[in-house]
Amino acid sequence: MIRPWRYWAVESAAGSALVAGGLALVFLYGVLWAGGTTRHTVLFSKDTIVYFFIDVVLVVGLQIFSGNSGILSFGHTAFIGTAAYAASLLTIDTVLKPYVSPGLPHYLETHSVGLLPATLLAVGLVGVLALATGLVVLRLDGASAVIAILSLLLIANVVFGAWTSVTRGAGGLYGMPESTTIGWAFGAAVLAVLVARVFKDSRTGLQLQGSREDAFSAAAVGVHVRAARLRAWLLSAMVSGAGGALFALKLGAITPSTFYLQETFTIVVMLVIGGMTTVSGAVAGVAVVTFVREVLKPYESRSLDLGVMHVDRLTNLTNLALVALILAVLFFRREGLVGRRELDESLRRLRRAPGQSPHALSGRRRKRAP
Amino acid sequence: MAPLLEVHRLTARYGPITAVREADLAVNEGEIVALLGANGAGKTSTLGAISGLVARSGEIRLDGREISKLRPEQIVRRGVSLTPEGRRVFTGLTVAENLAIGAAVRRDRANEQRERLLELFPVLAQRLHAPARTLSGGEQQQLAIARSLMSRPRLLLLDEPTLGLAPKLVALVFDLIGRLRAEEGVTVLLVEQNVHRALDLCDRAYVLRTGRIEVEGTPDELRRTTRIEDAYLGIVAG
Amino acid sequence: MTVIAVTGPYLVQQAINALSLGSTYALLALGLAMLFSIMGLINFAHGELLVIGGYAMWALLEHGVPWPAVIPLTLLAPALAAIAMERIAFRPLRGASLVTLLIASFAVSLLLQTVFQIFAGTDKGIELPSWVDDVVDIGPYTISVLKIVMTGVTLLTLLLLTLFLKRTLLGIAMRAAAEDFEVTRLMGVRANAVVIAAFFLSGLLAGLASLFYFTQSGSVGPFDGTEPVVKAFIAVVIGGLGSLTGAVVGGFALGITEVVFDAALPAGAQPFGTAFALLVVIAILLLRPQGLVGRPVGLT
Repeated sequence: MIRPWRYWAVESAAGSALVAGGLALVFLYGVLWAGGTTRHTVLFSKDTIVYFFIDVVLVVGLQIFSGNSGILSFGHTAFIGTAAYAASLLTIDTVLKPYVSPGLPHYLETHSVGLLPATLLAVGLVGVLALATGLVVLRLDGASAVIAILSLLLIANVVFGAWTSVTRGAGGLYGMPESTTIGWAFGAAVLAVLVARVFKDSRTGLQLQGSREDAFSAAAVGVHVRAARLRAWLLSAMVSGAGGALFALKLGAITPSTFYLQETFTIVVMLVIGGMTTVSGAVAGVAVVTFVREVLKPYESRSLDLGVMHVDRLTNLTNLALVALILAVLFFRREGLVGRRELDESLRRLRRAPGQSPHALSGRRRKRAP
Repeated sequence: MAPLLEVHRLTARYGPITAVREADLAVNEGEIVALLGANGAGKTSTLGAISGLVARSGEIRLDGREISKLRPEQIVRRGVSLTPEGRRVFTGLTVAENLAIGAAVRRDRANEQRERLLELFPVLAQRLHAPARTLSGGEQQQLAIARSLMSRPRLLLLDEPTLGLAPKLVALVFDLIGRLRAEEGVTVLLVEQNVHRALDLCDRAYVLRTGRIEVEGTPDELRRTTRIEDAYLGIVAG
Repeated sequence: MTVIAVTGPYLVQQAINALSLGSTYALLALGLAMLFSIMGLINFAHGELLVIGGYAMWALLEHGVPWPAVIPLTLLAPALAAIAMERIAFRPLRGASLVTLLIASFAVSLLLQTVFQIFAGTDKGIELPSWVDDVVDIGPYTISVLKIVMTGVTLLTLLLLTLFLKRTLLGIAMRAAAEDFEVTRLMGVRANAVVIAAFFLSGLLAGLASLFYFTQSGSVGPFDGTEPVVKAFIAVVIGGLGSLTGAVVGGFALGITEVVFDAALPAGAQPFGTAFALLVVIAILLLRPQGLVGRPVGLT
C-alpha cells in the first residue's frame, strides 16, 4: 500500500473514529441509562460497561502484538497480572498495607497514590519486564514461541502465588480503592484503540504484518523482524498492563487465579471471535462475548431436567457458549467476524464507485509527498 | 485403442491463481510423453492436478474412467503414481522403508517388485538400510522413482527427474526411463526443462505456456518449428 | 539453608523420584509430540484426555471392577475419546494454520473441563490398591515399588512404540507423514488412517500416564489436566519440537530439573521451584532453540 501522505497517522486516527464512536455510544448508554451495579430493567449494568471498556483495553492490547505478528500470545495475562498487582500495591491505603503486604519496602509501605500515577507506574514496570522477556522469547518462532510465551504466564503465576510477603500468596490482595470510574475506563479504551490503530498503520506495524505472512521473505527484503516484533511486544504489554491496573482498581481485590488460564482464554476468545488482524475486530469480539455472557448469566443458576438426567446447576454455561462461538468462527469464518479490513476501511470501499482507485481524492485535499 | 490418459479442458487453481487453463492432452499406453515449457508455465500443476493434489476442474480419464473427483490416495490406487519435483524422499526413513511406503497400496507381491527394482537400481540395493538423507542427489532421484514404481503403476508421472543432477546422472536417468518403458511396460508422462534430452527420448510432447497448451507434436515436428523457443522466451507466435 | 545429607540412599531415592516423575512427563510429552509432528497440532485438550483416564479409573473402581480389568479399560477410554475429538473438532480443520489448530484445541479443552464440571463437579477419590505404598529394600536403599514399576513400564512402552514405528507399515507411514504429509498421500496412504492412528496412540499414552498420575494423587478433579499438560508442552519444546525422541528426553530432563530444584533449593525458595525450572527451560531454548535433541527430520 503506497503511503504518499506525510500525515498518515492522522488518517489512521480518523479511521478509528468509527470504533471510538461506537464506544462513545456505549459510554453514553452507561452514563444515562444503566443504573447502579445490578441489572434492573435495563440489560447491562454500569459495572458491566466498565468491565467492557477494561476488556477492550486488554484485548486491543493483545491485538497489537498477536494481530500484527501472527504469534498468538498466551502470556499477556502475565503482564496484565503484574500491572494489576503493581497498581494494587501502589494504591492500597497505607493504614491497611502493612497487614496485607508486610514484605514491601518501607517507602512503598508508607506511600500510596491515586489511579493515574499508579497506572502509569504499573505500565512502566510492565514495560521493563516486557523488554527483558521480549529479548529472550522473541528469538523463537512458531510453536516454540507460543510455548515459551506460555511459560511466562506460568512463571508469573508461580511468583504471584509464592511471593507471599508481597503478594499475599493465594489469598491475594484486597483493599484497593475502586477508583476506576466509567469515565476512566472509557477514556482508556478509546486511547487504546487509537494507539493500536496508529501502530498498525505505522511502518513497524506494516513490516510486522509482512513478516506475519512470510517471515523469511520479509527478512530478505530488509525487515528487521525481531526488532519489529519487540516493539509490538513492548507496546502491547504496556497497553494490556494499563488494562490490568484499571481492572484491579475496579475489582478491589485480586488473586493469582484471576490472572491465569481462564482469563487468558477469555481474552484470546474475544480476539479470535472478533478477528485477530484488526482493531475493530478486537473491539467487536469483546462486544459479542460480553453480550453473550450477560444474556446467559441468569440461566446459569437454573437447573436443567432432561428427563434422563438432571443437572443441578448450569455452571459455566457461558463457557459452553464461548466454545460454540469460537468453533463456529474457526469452522466458518476463520478471519473472525470483522475479517481482514478495519470497519472503516470496509465502509470506505463501499462508498467508492466501482473502478475508482483507492487513492482517488474523492473531493478531499491531500498533500503529496515530494 | 483409447488412450490410457485423456485430459479435457483441465483447469487447475491455487486459490485465486489459475495455473493451468483448459488444457487438453492424451497419453497412449506404452508412450513416453513430455510436457515442456518455461518455469511457471504450469507443468508441475498439470501433474499435480492429474494426481489430485491441486484443485481442478475438467475431465481426467484413466482407462476411460473419470478420476478428476477422486482424492490423491484413490488415484494412486487406480494406477497413477507421481514422482514429485525435487525428489522429496522421506529423508528420515531408510531406503527400504521408503520403498515399503511406496508399496502401501499394492502389498501383494511387493517383495517381488522390490527385487526387480533393486536390479534396475543397483545403488539402492547397496544402500538398502541407510537413511535416505545420506544418499546423494542422484541416488535420491533413483529412490524417488523406485518408490513410485513399487505400486506398479500403469502411468508414471515424473516431475523434472533430472533437476539439479550432474550430466552423467542426467544420462543415467533418461536411460532408466527408456528401460522402464521397454522392460516394465510403464507409460510415462514426463515434465522436463531439458528440452533436447526430452525430445530425444519421448514419443510426443506438449508445450505449455502460461497455463495453456501451445504446441503439440512428435519430436521431429517440434524440432522443425521455432515455436518452442518462442514459448520459452515469451515471444508471441507469429 | 538446610543441610542436605548427600548420602547414597538419598541420591538413589532422588534418582528414582526423578526417573518416575520424568516418566510421567515423558509419556505425556510423547502423546503431544505425536500429534504435533504429524499434523502440527498442539493439543491443549491432551490434559483432558488424562482426566478422562482418571474418571474412567474412578468409575470402574466404583463399580467394583477388579484392577486387572481397570488397567486396559483406562488405557482405552482416552484413546477412544481422542478419536472422537479428531472426528468432531479437528477433521474439519485439517490443513489449517498452527494458530487455528491451537485455538481449536484450547476450545475443546475448555469444553471438556466445563462438561466435567457439570457432571462431576467435586473431586472424586480413587481407591488405591494396597501395593501402591509398598516399598522394597534393596541393600541399603529403600525404594517405592510404584515408582520402579512406573519407570519400568514407561521404558517398556517406549520400546514397544519404537518397534511399532520401525517395523509396522502403519508406523512407517506415520513417520513418513510426520515428515511430508503430502507425499505420503501420494503414496496412496490414506491420510485419515494415519491421523486416526496418531490420535489413538496419543490417547493410549495419555491413558497410561493417567494410571500413574492418579494412582499417586488419589483423586480426580475437572481441572487436574491443566498443569500436567502445560508441563508436557514444555518438555516437548525443550526436547525439540517435532521429534518423539526429543519429547522423551525433554520429559526426563524436566523431571530431573524439578526434582533437583526441589531438593536443592533452600526452604524459603521452595515454592519458587517451578519458576526456576521454567527459567532453566527458557535458558535451554535460548541456547538451543531447536531443543536438546536438535533438529531431526520427522518422527525419529
